[in-house]
Amino acid sequence: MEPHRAGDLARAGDLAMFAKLRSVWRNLAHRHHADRDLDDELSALHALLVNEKIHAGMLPDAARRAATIELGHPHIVKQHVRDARAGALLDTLAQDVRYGVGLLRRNPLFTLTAVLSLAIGIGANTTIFSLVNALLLRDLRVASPTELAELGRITQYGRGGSFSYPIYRTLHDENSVFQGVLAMSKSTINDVTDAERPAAGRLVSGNFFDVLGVPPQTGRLLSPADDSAASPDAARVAAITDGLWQRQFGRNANAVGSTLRVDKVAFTIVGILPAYFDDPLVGRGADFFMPIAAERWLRRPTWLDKPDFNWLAIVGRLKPGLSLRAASANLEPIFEHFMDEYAAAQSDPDAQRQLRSHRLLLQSARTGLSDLRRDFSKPVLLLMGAVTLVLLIACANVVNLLLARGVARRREIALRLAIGAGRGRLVRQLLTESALLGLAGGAAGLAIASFGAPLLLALVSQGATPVALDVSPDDRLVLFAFAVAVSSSLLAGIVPALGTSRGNLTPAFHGDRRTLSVTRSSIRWGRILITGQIALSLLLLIGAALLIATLHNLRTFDPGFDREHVVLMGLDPGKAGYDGRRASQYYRDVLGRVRSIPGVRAASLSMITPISGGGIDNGFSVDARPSASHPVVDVNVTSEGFFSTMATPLLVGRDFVEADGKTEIPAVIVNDALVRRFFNGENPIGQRVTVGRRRSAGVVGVVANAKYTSLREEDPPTVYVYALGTPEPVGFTLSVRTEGDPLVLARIIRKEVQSLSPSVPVGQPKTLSSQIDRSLVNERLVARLLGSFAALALLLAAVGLYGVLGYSVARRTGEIGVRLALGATRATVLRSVLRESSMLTAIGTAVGVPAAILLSRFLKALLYGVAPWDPRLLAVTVVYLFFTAMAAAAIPAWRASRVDPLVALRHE
Amino acid sequence: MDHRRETLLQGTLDLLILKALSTGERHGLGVSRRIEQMTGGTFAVQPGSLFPALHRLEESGWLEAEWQPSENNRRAKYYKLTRAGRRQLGEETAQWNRIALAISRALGT
Repeated sequence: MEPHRAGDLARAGDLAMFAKLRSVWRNLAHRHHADRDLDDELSALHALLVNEKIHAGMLPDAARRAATIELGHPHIVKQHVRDARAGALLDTLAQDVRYGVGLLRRNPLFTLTAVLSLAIGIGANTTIFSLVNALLLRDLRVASPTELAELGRITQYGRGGSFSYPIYRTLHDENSVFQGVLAMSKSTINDVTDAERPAAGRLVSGNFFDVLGVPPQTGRLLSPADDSAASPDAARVAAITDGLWQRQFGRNANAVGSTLRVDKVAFTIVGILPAYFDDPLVGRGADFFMPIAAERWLRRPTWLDKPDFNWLAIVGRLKPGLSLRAASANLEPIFEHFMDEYAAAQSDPDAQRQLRSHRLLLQSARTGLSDLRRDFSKPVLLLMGAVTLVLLIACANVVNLLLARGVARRREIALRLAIGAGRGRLVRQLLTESALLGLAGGAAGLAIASFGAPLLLALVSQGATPVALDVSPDDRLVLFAFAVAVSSSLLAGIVPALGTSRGNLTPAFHGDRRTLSVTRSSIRWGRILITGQIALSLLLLIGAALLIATLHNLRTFDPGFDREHVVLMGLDPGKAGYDGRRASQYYRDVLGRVRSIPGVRAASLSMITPISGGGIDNGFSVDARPSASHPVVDVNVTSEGFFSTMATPLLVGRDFVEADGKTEIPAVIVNDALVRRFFNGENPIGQRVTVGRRRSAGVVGVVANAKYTSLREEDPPTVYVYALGTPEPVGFTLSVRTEGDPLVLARIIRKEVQSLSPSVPVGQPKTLSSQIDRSLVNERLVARLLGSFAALALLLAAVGLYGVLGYSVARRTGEIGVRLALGATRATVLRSVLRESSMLTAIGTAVGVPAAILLSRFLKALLYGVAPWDPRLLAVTVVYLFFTAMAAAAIPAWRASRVDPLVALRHE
Repeated sequence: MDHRRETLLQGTLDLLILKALSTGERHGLGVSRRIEQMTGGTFAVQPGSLFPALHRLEESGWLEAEWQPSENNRRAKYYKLTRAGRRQLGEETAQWNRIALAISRALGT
């Protein structure tokens, strides 16, 4: 270690604390530095001793020997020094802790307020962090998760993570970089007939559990032998999770060997997964797993031989020591060769070019696959920012409390300084007290988080698919809470500690009047902090208001259809073995039967329902205007009556009719956006158009624009193709507009439809409005949580304001008494306190509003139809803030106005 | 050199070190020699007990140390009293005096 220079020590008085911190640091972290320093000191002493002895007349050699003996063994001396130092350190620490605990216990109200503030701040942080942890940070609980790599690709639409089964087989057979490579269906099959609650099944390659390195809890898991195309009967086996075992079988051992009915196909349960098992699709965990070969039982026609049906995620376990880059180099040529061959089989040169442009992407899968992460990581990180603000507000409260108490403790501190305690020593004592508050707050915060995280998860789970994340506290979470607790309490403690321990001793021993300067300084600090708190709460308040306005806008604007009173249910005659002709007849029967039910206003079939998240796009051209570019439009396949079911206005021409299925020239209907883009405002009725590679069709009608995949999209050019003329048995969704509550009628409708043909699966009915609401899960999550955090922040700030004003009034009792005695009215006094509160709020607002507008860009992606500078919205939030501030100021103001001048003056 | 070496009372070592440093900064050997000198050679402090005491007092904030050139033109670590150390010396001196007075009273009669 560098020897200290004399100059540094000139300021040593002021820097005593830092010298101390440095000394602790030296002892704990830089042990070898401290040791070397001590070595130097001992050898310097040895040299001095030798020198002394030579001066006294000894010979150099003898002097050296004598000095060595006198000094003793350096190792032992050093050990003693270390013991002495560590002992002194621990002694003072133990003393500080004892003293601090005693003090906190003697001031329960102070302690409770401070701990509660910190607990709220830390609890909110830990709750959100538990989601961040589960979603983004935690490794999958499988063998060596760092070896796992996920395959993705870059296409013309952006990043994708799905592949077809033929691609998987090719990569599986030809790669030389993986110890094993698995495939898993990204979506799950939820149609489990005999489960009490919906259970989700995933199709996985036979080597799935081997590649992940997961052993069975009971029985056996799937094996490659189960997953053979040659023997589909062997594929009717399933491994179930511990959760499903618990739920469905009450952990009964004879679950293994029993039957699970999936989509009316019987599967034999062969084994149970261990309780800790993590589905690699984080948050979208399945309840049971079936071999991919079982797909032939569940889906007709099968997708297994379709090279362009991308429905599988592919995850490989890299050979030891192999980098992602090296693995990519091996996999890319395999993938590109496959895509090249597949492209060569296409007739359309555009499709060929697009297929050949796909690039493979390999990324680590140690924390699992990224689908859910893409959906939720942005809002969750945003919320992490919001809770940091809540914590800052909580810290400001603690600072205020400590400052106020520092003033109350002037005498004690002055006394301790007078009897020789160093300032550094006092600062250490005061910081120990804040750290104790922090630790108590942290423990309470962790408890809050262990309740809050599951609640939060339930809130997230109202989305399209239940979100199953493990948010139970782990080491990282506890460490996080601890780190937040210690750092926030030290942050809150440092200014009051430095202020409280500052020199000037004498005034404290005299009357109250002399301490006024100290009081004023702490009140000034308090005001600055309050302004900051108000500004921060306003940030959260405006953020919450923006999100609430967005939700309101998204729920109430006209998307081109009426979202109320519509019920949807999926039909799939293909699964019952119907061919195209029989399916068409079935659909006719369904429509006829449903339309005759009383209370049904309109019924129709469509391939896509609005805002389901899915869609079909296809090339589109007007035959009379061939175009060099190949524009793509949204496509829906519908029956007649779709527009009246959705309440989408027909602008020109006519709706489909039954006869459209039998005409020479197929009929299509287009929307307004498409007419504007392709027809330059001309009348399109009767024009011939081509959709994809279908036959040329005639436009029979134009409808108003309607949102298709998402509420936020620009009005998409859309073409509607008539449904009931297709040769293949396609699955359609039945949409019914009802007079009353759609779900009430849904039961009757479903029964009627099922009675037509018991073998055709009919999906669970859901309302159109619930389908749309599901697309708003992020907005709802952020709106609700920002709202709650804003409320918490406001509460904390109000408590802070109340405290500072109350304290200021208490300190000014004498002054107020004088003013009252000199003729000021009680109303004047009351107003003066309220004026102070309004001033602080106004300054906070002046800081908070521009900051909120600046920071709102982080929210921009979530906002809809509202701007952060919207004056109405700002006015509402500011009024709300002022109202809260006034409420917080009311009690101190009232108390100030009740001051009895006589008592106050006598007290002086 | 005097050979009557008394065992140092536990606790008095700190007091003697503080006292030795009250007239100015010294290195370890200087403290040791100063104590010998102050006590007329009654107490000789071995480095083995002096060093831990010096470091303990530094840790408690009563002493501070810095490297400086020594009289033989090498470097040595010099210790000096802090403000708190000076107060501590006052405290301990007063206490010692009370004890010494009490003991000599007890023994005197």
